[in-house]
Amino acid sequence: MREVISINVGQAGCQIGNACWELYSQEHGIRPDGYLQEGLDRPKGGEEGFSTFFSETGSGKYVPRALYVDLEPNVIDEVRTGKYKDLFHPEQLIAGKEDAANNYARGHYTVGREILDDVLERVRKMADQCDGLQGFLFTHSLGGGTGSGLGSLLLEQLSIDYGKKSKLEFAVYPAPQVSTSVVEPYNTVLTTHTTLEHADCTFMVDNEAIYDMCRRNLDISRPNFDSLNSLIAQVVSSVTASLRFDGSLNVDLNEFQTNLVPYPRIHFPLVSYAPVFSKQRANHESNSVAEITASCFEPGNQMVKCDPRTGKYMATCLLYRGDVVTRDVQNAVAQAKAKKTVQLVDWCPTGFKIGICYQPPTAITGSELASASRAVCMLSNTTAIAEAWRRIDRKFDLMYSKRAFVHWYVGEGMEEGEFTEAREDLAALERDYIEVGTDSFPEEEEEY
Amino acid sequence: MSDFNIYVTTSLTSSERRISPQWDLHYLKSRLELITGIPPQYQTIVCYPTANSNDTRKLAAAEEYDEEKDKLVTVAELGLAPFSRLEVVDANPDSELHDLANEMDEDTIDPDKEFKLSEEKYSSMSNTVLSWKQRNQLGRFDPTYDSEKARAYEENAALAAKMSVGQRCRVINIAGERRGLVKFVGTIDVLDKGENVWVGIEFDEPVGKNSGVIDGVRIFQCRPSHGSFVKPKQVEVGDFPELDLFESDDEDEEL
Repeated sequence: MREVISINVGQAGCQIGNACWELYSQEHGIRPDGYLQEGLDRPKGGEEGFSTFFSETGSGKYVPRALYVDLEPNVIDEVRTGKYKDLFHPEQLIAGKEDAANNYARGHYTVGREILDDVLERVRKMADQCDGLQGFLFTHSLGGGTGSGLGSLLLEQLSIDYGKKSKLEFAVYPAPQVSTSVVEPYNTVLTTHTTLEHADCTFMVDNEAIYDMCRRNLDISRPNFDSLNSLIAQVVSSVTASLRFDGSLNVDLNEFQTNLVPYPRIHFPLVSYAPVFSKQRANHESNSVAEITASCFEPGNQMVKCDPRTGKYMATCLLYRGDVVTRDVQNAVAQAKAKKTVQLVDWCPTGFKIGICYQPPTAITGSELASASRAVCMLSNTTAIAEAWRRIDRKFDLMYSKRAFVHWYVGEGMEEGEFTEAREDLAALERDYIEVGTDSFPEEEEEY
Repeated sequence: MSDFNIYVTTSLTSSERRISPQWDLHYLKSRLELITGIPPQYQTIVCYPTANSNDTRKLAAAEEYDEEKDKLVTVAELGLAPFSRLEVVDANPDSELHDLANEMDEDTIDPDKEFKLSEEKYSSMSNTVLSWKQRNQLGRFDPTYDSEKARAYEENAALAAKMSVGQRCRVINIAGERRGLVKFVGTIDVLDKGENVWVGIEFDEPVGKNSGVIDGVRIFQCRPSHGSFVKPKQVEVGDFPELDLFESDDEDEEL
């Protein structure tokens, strides 16, 4: 067995976790109380895949291999009292009393430290229940205090305790236009620096991109966290589907890394998802394999705002699910490769990796997203995502040149030198992406 | 009454936040400081009943700030509805937040404020993509890189040999299709020390990068913004008459 433990950290992480586990449960035919839906004698999708994400108790109840961690009790209390309260064991839900106040240093050094041993102990217990732990799946935000501070602290510790086990992250990246808090650029740069050598693959999701998608494609005039998170959950589900369902072409956690990450630091693939349509529009869309594949190359279907036409691709994974035949996929991929806008790095091996899972996507009851018979999630390691780092680095610089709010961090015992150390690492990362993009020749697109 | 979500906005930030009706106003303001960077005594808070409404109600004025009074008012008493919006305004005229808000809006950054990583420093780091390429002889560190480059050059030169000044041509790339006239074929010293063969084109429309001038040196004569230099592989010569822009618009509408 190849178990995966999900760890949701901070408010954003826990709320995305909620949306994901609700979706996973429905996909596998598990009721909110952890038992099988009526009429099922075993979970949907095949025993092997299912058990990577759920464990079974003696009484036939299924329990997510998941941990919720937050420094303040509110969000976790909601899980404890919410619709899925019986799905989780109380030990899986860990909450502190005092929050991180949007401050990386509180999450990483002061308040976060106090909860660390407790969390690691629960992780160990959960890992002990696994026959062959594959790795960890993190969800957290980069801009908040708990998600950035405690999230990176946990990743560091897991690196020490579990060495080579894969660590994948879904990370909420700050929106380009507006920050959620005034110190968000600091938190993002600090946590990225800390986790750069500990995370194997990080899938970023920028709330603004999701927000626009909800408005444009789902006709939600003012999307809130619930609408954003249920869309994010569909994406996470698509990425994890190949792990959870016995399918024809499977991809495991290690394979993401092997296929997508040519060099450890360059581990931030751009995620695109299609189709995203509201129920009203669903009847007017045909969603052929060719169409949904082409949609993934549209900026409007990306989870992070950037322009891949200006960058070069190192690798691409196309993860299809539902009613899909291999021949259609091969044709669609051939068309994608022929696009002039898809430029590959030519000095290192690159490729299109295909995953197919025959389980169609499930629309959550009450969600605006129409159910589709097939969907695709594209993970592409493109140099264009460096735009995201440039944006946040620039904001960091504007603030740090005034030393604005640095005292909030120093006050928690953090050394000021960590700011410059982190910023230097991110500058090197930007420079790394430029280095990936050069030396591909002939560079025929130049124009003067 | 249980906790509920509201939006908090300032000139720099916008977010959805959870608040508790049991909080007092002083505590709410201290929470808002951590989000907005505005200290309680400078917070003027305006409430918009829904996220997009224009009706406003002032919840707190900075000039009337009184910590003790704030402690006696609970959030429940403020009468906030879920998903209403609190706009927090910084009443301190000397606040660095005002400058920050302006600077974040601009597209460029003051070079003095930008962190710079020197090439020396980057080259000296051992865990970078550059060091990886060097170690594994990738890209320009590949011993065959130069010969491959020469082969690409020859391909381009062979294509260029079939083009001549005066021919109609088109260039198709991410910007779409552009048509024009070949005005120059050859190497350009000021551009890349004569390393590559370039095709100089005067486009039919002002979709070029220059007027046939590179670094002050005129390579060919053409109207401003109609000229560009591209690699021969990008250029297709043949019978490509001028495009009627309005005709193509009509076609779009029919689609």
